[in-house]
Amino acid sequence: MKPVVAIIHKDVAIEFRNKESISSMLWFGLLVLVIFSFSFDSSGAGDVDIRAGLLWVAFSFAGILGLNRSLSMESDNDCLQGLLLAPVDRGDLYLGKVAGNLVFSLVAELIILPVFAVLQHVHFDWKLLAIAGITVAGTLGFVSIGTTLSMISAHTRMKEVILPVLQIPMTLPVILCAVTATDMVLKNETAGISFPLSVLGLFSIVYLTASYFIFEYVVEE
Amino acid sequence: MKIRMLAILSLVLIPISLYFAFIYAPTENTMGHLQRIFYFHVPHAILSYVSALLLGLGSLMYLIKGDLKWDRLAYCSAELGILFTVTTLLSGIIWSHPAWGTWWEFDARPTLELMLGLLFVGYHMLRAYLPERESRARLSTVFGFLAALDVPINYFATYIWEQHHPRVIGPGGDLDPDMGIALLVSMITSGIIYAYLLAQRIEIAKVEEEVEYFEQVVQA
Amino acid sequence: MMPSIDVALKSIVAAYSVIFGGIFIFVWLMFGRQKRLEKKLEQIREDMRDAGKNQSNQV
Repeated sequence: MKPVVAIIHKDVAIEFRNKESISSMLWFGLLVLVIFSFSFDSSGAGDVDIRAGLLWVAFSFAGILGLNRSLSMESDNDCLQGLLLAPVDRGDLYLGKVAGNLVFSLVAELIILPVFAVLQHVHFDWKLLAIAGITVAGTLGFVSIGTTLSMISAHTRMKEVILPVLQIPMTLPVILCAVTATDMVLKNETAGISFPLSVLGLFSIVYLTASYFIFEYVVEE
Repeated sequence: MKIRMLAILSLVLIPISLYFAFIYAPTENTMGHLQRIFYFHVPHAILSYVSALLLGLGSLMYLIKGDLKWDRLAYCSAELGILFTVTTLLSGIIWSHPAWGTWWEFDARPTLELMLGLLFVGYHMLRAYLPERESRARLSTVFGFLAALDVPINYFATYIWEQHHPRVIGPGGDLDPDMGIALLVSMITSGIIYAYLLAQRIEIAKVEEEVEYFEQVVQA
Repeated sequence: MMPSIDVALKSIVAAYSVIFGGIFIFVWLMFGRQKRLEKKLEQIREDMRDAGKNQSNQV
């Protein structure tokens, strides 16, 4: 447990110094929200209520930005080599990075959420709290596979370019379930919400486990 | 040679399966002759999943054993995967418009197929960005394995969506027995075609790798 | 809603062309690649032969 905590501590400490990751994710997420908000008539009076989708588009784009940042942070200055020299189990290294990415993404997203509520006419009641919970579940899934993929991308020639190409198809189930669950909450039709939530849970468990064991193949030289 | 035999068998089976699809099989009640697209659309969809399975299996075996022949199986299956995903999606789109009035709906099966196509393409793009043989095999097999894992998960996830897609086989579907026979024939035919394409592609891949190796030696 | 016979025909032709055309194109590209590889292999053998000759000339 201690090495995992140490890695989280390192990432959080670095982030605290310049807050680059959280601020860029936050700002980009907000900009996406704004662009989509005035591009689409989103009063909910039209045929399709796009609010749930809009939120998760903003989260996905911001999330990829965050993963790219964590990717470049490791490959610049050869920080990764330093980490690998330390006697840290590769699986623990992975978990530490997931935790760090998760925390930064959640901070940005939980700030974006109230702005979303204001722009998209969502009342500040239990619904927002439920959506916050869905956000946590969805982000965990997103980040569990994203951390592995960003480490894979870091070893390629065109690092940041390949990450979205791999990440977006892989996280289609996460986005699908998160949007469905969010939509159910917004429309007050929460019967059967356990299904998308359990798929989110399944996704996270499967990929956290698989990545934990497979991570050593990604980082070996 | 075995590959030659598979090729000849394919060429023999194709006209036979076309006979079954167009003459032997009865005309469907609601959709008429349009429904006959089904006889190759379904086998191709199944074969795209087979490709995903082989990608996952080949990737996993490479990570365990370290033998490059498994990586070769993985990337050749993934190439075939792109072919069969494209034919499934396009034939599905062509069928969908006259039958149900829309070109595309984000139902369970089309969405799954689209995701599969994107994963296969992503896999090859990743390989394209890895010039060194060993790291290419290692990193793309990690992705290949994780991607193959995604297929069943997404299968469950898309059950949330409305089921527009007709359920013809399995529980709740009824299929005229003659249609079933025609489908079986075209399934076997498509399977043999797949086996031929895979075997031939793997052979060429071996030559490709040899050439790549010699090119590096010559440069040195 | 049963589509008319000519619509069905056009669609069937289109779909089956896609299906078998796709397979055909794949095979075509595969054998094109094989030919290119064989040429390259020949080229490499030539290069190695020349390299061998040059070495023995130098010695």
